[in-house]
Amino acid sequence: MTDETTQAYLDGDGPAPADEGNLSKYRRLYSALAAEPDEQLADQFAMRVAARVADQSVVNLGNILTVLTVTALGIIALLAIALSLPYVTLELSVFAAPFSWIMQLSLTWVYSAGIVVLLYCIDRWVSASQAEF
Amino acid sequence: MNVDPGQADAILVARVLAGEKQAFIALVNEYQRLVLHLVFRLIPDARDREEVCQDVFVRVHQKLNTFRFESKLGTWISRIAFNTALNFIKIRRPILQPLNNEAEFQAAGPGELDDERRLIELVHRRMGGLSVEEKSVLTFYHLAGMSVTEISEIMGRPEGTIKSDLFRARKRLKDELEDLL
Repeated sequence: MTDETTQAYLDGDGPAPADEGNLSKYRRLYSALAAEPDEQLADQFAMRVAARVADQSVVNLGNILTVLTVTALGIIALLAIALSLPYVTLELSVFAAPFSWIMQLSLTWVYSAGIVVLLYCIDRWVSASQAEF
Repeated sequence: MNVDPGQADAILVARVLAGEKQAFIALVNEYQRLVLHLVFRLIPDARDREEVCQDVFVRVHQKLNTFRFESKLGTWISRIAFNTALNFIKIRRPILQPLNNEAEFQAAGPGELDDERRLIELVHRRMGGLSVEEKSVLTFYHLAGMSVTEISEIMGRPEGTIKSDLFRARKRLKDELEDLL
């Protein structure tokens, strides 16, 4: 009980405890706990972190460009398949004819996705060139 | 003209989000002591501390656009520091060794160090035997001067749990160092 009342008192949340000896020990402990460590970070710490962030921004931009390139290649591959499919064999052409609307819809979707990706790419490029990182 | 700390933080965050490198450096300079205090108490190896501190600020930069000013910037950064240190500890769990008060008190520093400084060093070493949660609570409360409510927010635990962690950790330290206090 004396520990609880002593800690509560030192936390500013209770009356003074009767046990002065215990209070004195806790005072020393509180003082040691509040003492700042001698250890400090290097003078150039903030600069180092900023350099790391800048490096990561370059890496991130590189990753985005890789994803965009793969996406663009995928779109081109899909388009090539979609456009050439009816010409591969007569059977395939006959088979594909009733579903041409699906093909048109897919092509529209692919074109739209391509435009969105292109706009996103331009936006990222502009942002990256404006930022210092 | 005096600018209140919340407003100053809002301006600083806006400048960092606009890509201003100097603003980010100012943010790091402003909060590096707070981060180091926690990392110092949680990460036993001095060689790892700077790396962990760097990781904290890299994460701060990555997530700053999600900061909604629902808490103080310092509280938000502390939460990131706590989680980063916690993840680091999970990967590299320190090996705890049995401690001996007298021998350690003598070994805590060179002879010319005063008793007060040795006691501080010894308390720090003893904290190595506490749980991560207890160490964090003691650091946030005593070193960073945070309230129980703020600590509760940072650690995602109820205030009652924070209070009982604080009590238990301090009592344990007091009991262990009884003869030196």
